[in-house]
Amino acid sequence: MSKYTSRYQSFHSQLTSRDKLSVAELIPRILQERNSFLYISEESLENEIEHKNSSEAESQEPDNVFAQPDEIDSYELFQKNKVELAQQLNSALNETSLSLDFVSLLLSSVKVNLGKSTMSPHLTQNVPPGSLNADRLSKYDDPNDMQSKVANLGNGWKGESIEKITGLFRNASMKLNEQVIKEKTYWELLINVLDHDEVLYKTRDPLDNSRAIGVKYGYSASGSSYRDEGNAILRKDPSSGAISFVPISRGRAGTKICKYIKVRILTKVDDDYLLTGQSLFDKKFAGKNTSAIINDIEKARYFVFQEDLFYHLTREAKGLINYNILIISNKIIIEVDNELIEIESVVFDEDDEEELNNLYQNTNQLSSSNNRRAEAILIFMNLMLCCFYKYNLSLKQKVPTAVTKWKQQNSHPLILRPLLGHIRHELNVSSLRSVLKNHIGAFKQDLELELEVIQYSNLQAQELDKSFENPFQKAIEAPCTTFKLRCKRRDGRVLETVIDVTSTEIFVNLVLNLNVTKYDSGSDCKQHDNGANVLQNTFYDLNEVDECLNWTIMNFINQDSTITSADG
Amino acid sequence: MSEFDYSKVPVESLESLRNRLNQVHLSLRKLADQVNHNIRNPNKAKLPNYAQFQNQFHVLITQLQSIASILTNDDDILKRTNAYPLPNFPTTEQEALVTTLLRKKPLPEVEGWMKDAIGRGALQESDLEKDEAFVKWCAETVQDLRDEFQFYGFHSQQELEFLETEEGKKEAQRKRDLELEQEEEKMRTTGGKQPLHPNKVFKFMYQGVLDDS
Repeated sequence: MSKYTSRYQSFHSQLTSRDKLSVAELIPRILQERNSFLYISEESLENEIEHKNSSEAESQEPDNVFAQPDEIDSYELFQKNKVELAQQLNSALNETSLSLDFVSLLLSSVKVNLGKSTMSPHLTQNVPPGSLNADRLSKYDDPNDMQSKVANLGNGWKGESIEKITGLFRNASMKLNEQVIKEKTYWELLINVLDHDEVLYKTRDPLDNSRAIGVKYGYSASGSSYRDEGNAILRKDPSSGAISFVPISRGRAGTKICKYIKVRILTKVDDDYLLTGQSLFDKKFAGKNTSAIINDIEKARYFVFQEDLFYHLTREAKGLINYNILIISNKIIIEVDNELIEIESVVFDEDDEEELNNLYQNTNQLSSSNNRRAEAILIFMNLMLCCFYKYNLSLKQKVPTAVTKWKQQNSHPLILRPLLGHIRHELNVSSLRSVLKNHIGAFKQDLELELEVIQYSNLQAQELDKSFENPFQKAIEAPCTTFKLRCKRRDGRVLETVIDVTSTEIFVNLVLNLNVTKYDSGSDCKQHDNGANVLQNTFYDLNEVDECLNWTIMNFINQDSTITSADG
Repeated sequence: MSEFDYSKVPVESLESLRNRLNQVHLSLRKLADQVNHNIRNPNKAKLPNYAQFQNQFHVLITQLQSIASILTNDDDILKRTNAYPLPNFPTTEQEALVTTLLRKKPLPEVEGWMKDAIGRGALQESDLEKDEAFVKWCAETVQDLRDEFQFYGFHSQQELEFLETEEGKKEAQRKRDLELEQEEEKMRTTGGKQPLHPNKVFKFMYQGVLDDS
């Protein structure tokens, strides 16, 4: 106790003297005490100080994190024992020297040189050899007493030795037993993890560079190129043998902040955006598996995927800034057609059940109308990242050439672009449809008009070939819808207008391919026979197409009459 | 020199004692040097490891044992021998030396230690035969226990016991048969040729060259 108080006082004097240190002295000092600034936060320090003050007030018991009494004690004990050993050795050496001197001196009376050879220098200097003699006494008195004493002495020592060695054996066996129990828990837990089909590997704990078994929970081996490879250490608790899950990122161990992705849809109502739908977070980690460690692994696996997804989403969003996409801290906001789609990375707080469970607070018809859509968007994004992993993996399995290597390094997932592209595409298609409807209404008197709409016209050929069916083809190719407007004149001549509504490679720019062909008769048109190409052009604006179409049809009506008259 | 009669000096036992004492002295000196060196320079000099300590203690014990046996053997003569300084010993100048040399009393701490042991020994009943039997039993038990903790092979105790049963023997036989079968199959397909190393196969796939080296 007194030892502790003295140490505590010295610690206090250190604290007070610290105020006088200059910054240059202070920083190395803090580093030495705290290892790194990384783990120090204002709150933790406040906590510590508070804690210290309270404990000080309650009892004079010291509570500082720097002194580790157990460790120091064992070290001190070792030092003490060492010094004691040295003292005993010295005294034994001394006694032996004396005995040797005595025997040598006595011996030197008969064998001078032999005796002299083992005499200590001090003795040779001061005493002449042969200055000791011996007599033989005739009789030795009371031998019985001595005999029993010697026997008792031997017995006592023997008893002491046996007691000591029994203690040693008992201690060792107890320690071994404990160790066996620890090892058993450790390996049983590991087998649990292994039975869950996890990938285990040998590694070293970055904390103390000791051997450890790691687990790969991430997707680095499944095609992910995210910087967090998803490695963790199953660290063994030295006191119980239980393992704990410690994720490793960039060679450092530590807990990670879990974030999941949430999609919200806001719709513009009376100049105001109202929430009309949001995705639900319904992951439950605790209690799903029997083993807590597997829960931890699954949880980490889920969140590393979410992290990866959000990373790719922000990367993609950066390239789309020009198309009404905003990135605000951990939120991506897509504005399209009176709607806002918010993709947010939300911190997962296991304790905050309110937030997790009552996601649909104050639900009414309006605020939940787009819930399913939000869910669908989230599922789509998850699926697209999976597809990207698969694609990456297939690249890795190919024979490495310059092309595949380039592809590996320059591949990025298509997630946001197809999503936004298809939403915009739907809008474009509906506006073109209304434009064409207008034309049909306008020219109804002069012409017989027929409109045909083919969705995903670029995928028609593949759809026929059922063997090559890929549900994601729609998602990774630019959307394309073909409008066919047939204008039939009363004399049978047909003007076929084909408009492909599609987009550029980045999915978001509108591209309209206009192709106008004139046929002499309706049957020719059906067979695409004897057609005369009137106009072929690419537009990037709907109004231009509108005007151009208007003009072409007008022209067709007018021209026709001249041609007809010329023919006649 | 010859004016004194040295005939009563027990030369033979002194000679053998001198040798043994010299050995103990050297061993102790070595050990003490190592420990003292470490205490003086804890950073430079390392303590001998556990096994080395153990060895040196073992050597010391053997040497002390042999001294003890000499003392016991020559018990009769040595007990009756009485040493004294002759006139040519500088008794007046070296009074301390002569008293130290002729001292028979053990060091105070050793005396305490002995007293404790004697007290202890008096309480214990001493039966030499029983003791011997006990020592023998100890040695045997330690040996047995040590044998039990020697592990060979890759089978656990349960697996070994299983192998001893009928079922275990059958399974072992089955495994051997399966191995033989596989060996035959291998002989049939390869015709006794060594198969290509997987690395070689990869190299061929990658480079298209099959070098013989």
